[in-house]
Amino acid sequence: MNSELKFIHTADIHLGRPLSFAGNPSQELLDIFNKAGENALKNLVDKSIKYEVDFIIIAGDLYDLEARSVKSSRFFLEQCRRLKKENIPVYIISGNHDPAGKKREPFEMPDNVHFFSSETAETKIFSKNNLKAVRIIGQSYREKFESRSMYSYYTAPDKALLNIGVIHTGLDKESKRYVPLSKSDLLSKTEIHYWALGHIHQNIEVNTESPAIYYPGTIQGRDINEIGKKGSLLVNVDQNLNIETKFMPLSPVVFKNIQIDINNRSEIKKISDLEKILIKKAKNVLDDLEKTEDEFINGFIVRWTIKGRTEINQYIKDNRKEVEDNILSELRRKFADQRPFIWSHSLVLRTADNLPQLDELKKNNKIFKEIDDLIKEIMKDDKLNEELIDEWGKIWQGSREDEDRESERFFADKDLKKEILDEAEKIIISEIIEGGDLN
Amino acid sequence: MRIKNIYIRDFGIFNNQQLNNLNEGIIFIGGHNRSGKSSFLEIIRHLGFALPKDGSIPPAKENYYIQADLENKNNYYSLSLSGYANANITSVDGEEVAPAELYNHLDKFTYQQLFTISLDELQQISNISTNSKKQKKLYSMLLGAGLSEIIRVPEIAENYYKKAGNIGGKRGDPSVADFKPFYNKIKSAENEKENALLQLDQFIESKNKLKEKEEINIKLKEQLKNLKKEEFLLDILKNNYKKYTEIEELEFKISEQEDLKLNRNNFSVEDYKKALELKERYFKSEKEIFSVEKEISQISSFKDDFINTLLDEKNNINKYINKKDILIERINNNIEAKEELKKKRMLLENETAKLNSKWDRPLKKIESIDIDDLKQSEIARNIEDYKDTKEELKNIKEEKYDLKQEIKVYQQKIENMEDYNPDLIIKKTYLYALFSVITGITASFFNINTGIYISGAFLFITYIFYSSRYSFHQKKSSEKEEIIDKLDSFKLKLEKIKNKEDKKEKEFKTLSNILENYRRKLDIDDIESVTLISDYYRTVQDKKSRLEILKSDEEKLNKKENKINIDLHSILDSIRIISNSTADNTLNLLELGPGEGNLLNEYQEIFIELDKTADYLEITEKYIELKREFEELKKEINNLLSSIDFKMKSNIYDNLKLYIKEAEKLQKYIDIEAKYNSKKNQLRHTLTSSDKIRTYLLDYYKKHFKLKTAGAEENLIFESFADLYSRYSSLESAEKEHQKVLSDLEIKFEDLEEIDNQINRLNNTMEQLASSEDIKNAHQKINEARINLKNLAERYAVNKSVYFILSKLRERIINRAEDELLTPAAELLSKITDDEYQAIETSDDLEAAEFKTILADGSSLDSVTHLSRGTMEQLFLAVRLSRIREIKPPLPVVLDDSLVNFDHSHLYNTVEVISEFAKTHQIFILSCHPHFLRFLKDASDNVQYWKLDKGKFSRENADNLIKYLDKIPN
Repeated sequence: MNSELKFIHTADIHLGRPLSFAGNPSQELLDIFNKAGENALKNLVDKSIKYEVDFIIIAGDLYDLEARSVKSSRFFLEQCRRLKKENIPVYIISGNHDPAGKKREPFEMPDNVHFFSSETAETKIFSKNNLKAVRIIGQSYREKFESRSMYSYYTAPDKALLNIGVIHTGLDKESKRYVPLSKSDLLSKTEIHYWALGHIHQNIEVNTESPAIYYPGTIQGRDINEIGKKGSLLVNVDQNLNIETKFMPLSPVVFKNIQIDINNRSEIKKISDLEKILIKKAKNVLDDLEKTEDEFINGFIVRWTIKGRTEINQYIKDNRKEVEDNILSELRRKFADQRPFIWSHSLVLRTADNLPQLDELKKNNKIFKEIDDLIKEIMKDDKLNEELIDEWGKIWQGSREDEDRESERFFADKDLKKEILDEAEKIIISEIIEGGDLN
Repeated sequence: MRIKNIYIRDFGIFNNQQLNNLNEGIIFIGGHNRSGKSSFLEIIRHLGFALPKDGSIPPAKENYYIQADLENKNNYYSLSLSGYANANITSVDGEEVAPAELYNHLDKFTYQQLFTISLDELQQISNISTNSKKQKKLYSMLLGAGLSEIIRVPEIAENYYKKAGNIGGKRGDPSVADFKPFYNKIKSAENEKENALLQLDQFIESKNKLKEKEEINIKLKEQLKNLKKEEFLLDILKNNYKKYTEIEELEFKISEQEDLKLNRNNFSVEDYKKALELKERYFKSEKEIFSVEKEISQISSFKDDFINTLLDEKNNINKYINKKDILIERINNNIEAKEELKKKRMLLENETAKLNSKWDRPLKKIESIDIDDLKQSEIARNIEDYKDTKEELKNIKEEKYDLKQEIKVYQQKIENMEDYNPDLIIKKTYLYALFSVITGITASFFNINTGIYISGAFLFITYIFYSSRYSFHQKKSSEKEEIIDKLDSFKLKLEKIKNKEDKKEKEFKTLSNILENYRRKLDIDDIESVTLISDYYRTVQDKKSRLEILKSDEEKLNKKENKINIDLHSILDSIRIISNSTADNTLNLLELGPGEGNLLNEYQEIFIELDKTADYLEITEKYIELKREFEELKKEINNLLSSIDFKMKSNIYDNLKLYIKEAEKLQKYIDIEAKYNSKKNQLRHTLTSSDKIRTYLLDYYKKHFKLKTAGAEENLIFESFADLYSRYSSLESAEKEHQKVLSDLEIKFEDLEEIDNQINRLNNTMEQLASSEDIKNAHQKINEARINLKNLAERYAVNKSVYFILSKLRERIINRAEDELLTPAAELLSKITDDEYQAIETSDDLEAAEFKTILADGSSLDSVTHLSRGTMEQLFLAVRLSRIREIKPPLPVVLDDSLVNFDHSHLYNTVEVISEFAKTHQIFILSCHPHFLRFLKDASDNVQYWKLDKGKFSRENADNLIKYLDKIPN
């Protein structure tokens, strides 16, 4: 290749899908939340222009199946026009969220925008300085579910140009829904230099050696499950086709899960003490952000989890809703109006009664060990696990895949299960001890 | 653990009892009822814990105190229980040891329930299925966990199951209980979302529709444009149709025009107008002349003679016509003045006649009276004097008469006057006074007072009489004297007046004579009053002077009259001359003789005739003037025709007419031509004045004329219009076509409007769709509800997890109990019952806290309540022993008369079981039954026997103890 190249690899923009923030934020904050997705894309375009990238690759799910709107398309059109002015092409494949994308595009896009066919793997050539420089091979989803593995048709005649394969996949060979293929399948395609993947909302370096395989993740987290900074990959390719990627955070709003263990913290005597601890923690989070000097972050949406045995548990048990509401509203009052802000999404109180001689009691009482063992077994044993989820009822029978899950059902991952079982264990121990004769 | 020695210093019935070197196996303590067996059971039961304060144990005499030596795994300990304090255990090294360590950390309840067995305990099992808390606890304990905590498991599990149920029902269905509102919110928001998701397709559909509509719109606009053009051209045609028709007609007229005799180039409109004017004048003039000639011929048949005569008399006539008014005024004044003078004379004559009736011709008489020598002033003075003298004389005579009368009066008075005497009055007064006094006195005789009053009254009357009468008489006598004096003076005065009268008589006579003279002169009757003389004189004098003035006036008037008559005669002369020249003497007054007579009275007739002559003169003069003018006119015509060189005929007037005819023809032609040009230009102007018309007509040309002629744009435009015109046979047909195009236009306009509306609506719809926040809003609702629902779901999961874990836990414990406890217990029971009962199981329903027994024939009993009392106790003992055996290291066991309900064979089997059990456990058996002792003696060698008698322990051999127990206590 004759010259260096620079491009942006992004995916899973899900334009139009609003953030899930909970509560009633001020109008100003609501605007930030509502525009976060669009602004992340705008940030991406700004960066593209600033870095004078050669082109942009969108590896599927530009739009959200559940939030497809004309407004979003119009916004995208505006951004493409900006890029057109700067002569930056945009290569787009459709994912499971926007299958056969071009057909449903309500506006005539400028000619710098290229949609890949959903019928066959298509190759587009990008030329730089009038010389062919890059082959971009891609194929769009035809339907919501795509069982074709596609990759085998991603072929390049030579390795003289930079060959980029763009594919929207869950990288799960067993899945019949999201292009079933495995990492090794991709590795087997030796003529491809860079696999630009999409579908997983997390930035993942699947393979850093040649061929490079990357998920950029989404550019803006949509709910509390998509924690951490989100963005795109800035990919630099030198004349020898050495590839270097750099993650660029773009999201104006970052979701964050903060867990605080207050086990046996004797200084917590009342709810306000707990509140103070949370406020201090919030301040620390904002201080840390200042140190990082992130240019796009407007603030955080935080889910607070409080764990541990505490004296105030009885009060919490009796007034759970009130305590949650009061602390949340205090946190929101204090941190929602400042910039950067912290919007408290929710507060989960996984506290239990304080048991001063717990260790002693546990040591001398077989039953506690029995319970402990049982929980460990539940976590490990699939059958038990299944039984537990059955016990949790229909509401927890949601699909493992976010995409396929009904809105009124949930799925508990291992962490959540563990959290809930831990809380249950604490409750059981307290109940047994309180009701027994050991006290 | 075993108890080596026990020292009971103070506990119920026991006082300083020592049990040393207690057997490692069975220790049989036999004693009758109330010997202290139950008290001993209580001691062993509480030994490792503390004595209860609940009154369940027998009282101490002073303070409870028990001390025991214990052995556990070859370690030795000392235990003491003092009062209600916890058991205190020390090792041989003197170190304090927690009792729980020696008691396997068993809680007090478990130890007591498991290891210290009385009949009560054994019978508890019949109550197990009552499911009371205590029974459940016991059941759990028996089942082997042996831990009190597990007792609450079902309850806690149930509790959390319920809690979960409140949140999400039994099956965690998101559409029930607390989940429901959020579930509903999600579903409703999802509906909203689904609807909103259709917006994209709606937008695309709208976009496609919009495209279609816009194409139609363009077509319609094109059609409209053409129609508008057509309409516009038709409108132009319509508005100019008549004009063009006129132009066409004019063109035709021009083409039809015959030869013209006049040369257009030399033709002048002024000449033509002039000719017209001259023709007019000629005609008029001729007519007038004829009319005047006719008039003249009516007056005189000798026209020329008549005219000449008139012209001769012209000056005179004109003179008098001019003077006519003055003359008439003068004549009238004259007549009037004459009449006035006549009246004056008559008046004077009448007045004068009144002066003296004797006068026949009063004016002649007046003229004849000569009063020149009489002077007015003298006459007046004499008359005055006469009157004065006469007056004076009269006054004197009156005075004389008055005086005589007075004298007569006074004389009369004196004669009438009586004599008045005042003295007589005095006398009468005195008389009356006297009478008064007398009357008074007389009266006093009757009444003194009355007397006084009466005399008083009379006296008063007397006085009044005096005062009035006396003064009157005095006054009358003095008046008489005065009258006599006056009478004397009057007589003297009368004498003087008589003298004066005489003198005046003489003067009066003289004056009367003078006056008489005047009367005569003035011819006045004597009777006329003196005073009238003067007036009469003045009147005569006045009449005389008036008569003279009258006469002078009459003279003057006559002179004037003569002058007037001269004029009138002169007029009359002229009239006569003229009249003679008329054929039939049209004028009158010819009977009046020439040069004589007063014509004043005929003046009106004269002037009427004069006016006539003046009229004749006027006509004549007019005639002459007309003639002259006519000649001038002819000249003028001649000049005109010469100037334009038009001489066709000899007659000048005919020539003129001919010229006019030709000129008219030419003028008409010129007019038509001008009109034609003007109309054409006008139309051209109209057609080229606006760019729009030009463009449209040029377009028309391009469209309709195949052979393009190069020419001025204007011509092409006009040609196009002419072509357009030619397409319609009439204005009506053009209008009809226009109307049709207009209605077409209207329809197209409406179509376009409708399409525009549709486009607007589509644009609005698209804009709405493009700015719709519906999806976002729906997602926000879903998210909000989901967050809330998830929190609830987690609470649900936590509660359900508690239930799940506890259920699993319980299940496990029970399974284990079955495996580890109930199997050996079944073996024991089988042994005790001679293999009648084969197995023990927990109930299928774990919550039921129930044992199930299976008999040798395979049948089973689901509840302990179905067992006989003995079997039930055997079951319980078997389970208990099995459970005790499980707890290691072993703890001492106490059996207090607990086997009384066993039949002998089962009892023997039981004793064997116990003997076997004693190999690992220290067992205290408390009993009052000798047969039990016998069985025990047969079954085991490893038994230590103690007799207990009223709180006193003593070692005994088996036989003696049997004997002792066989004895029925007193």
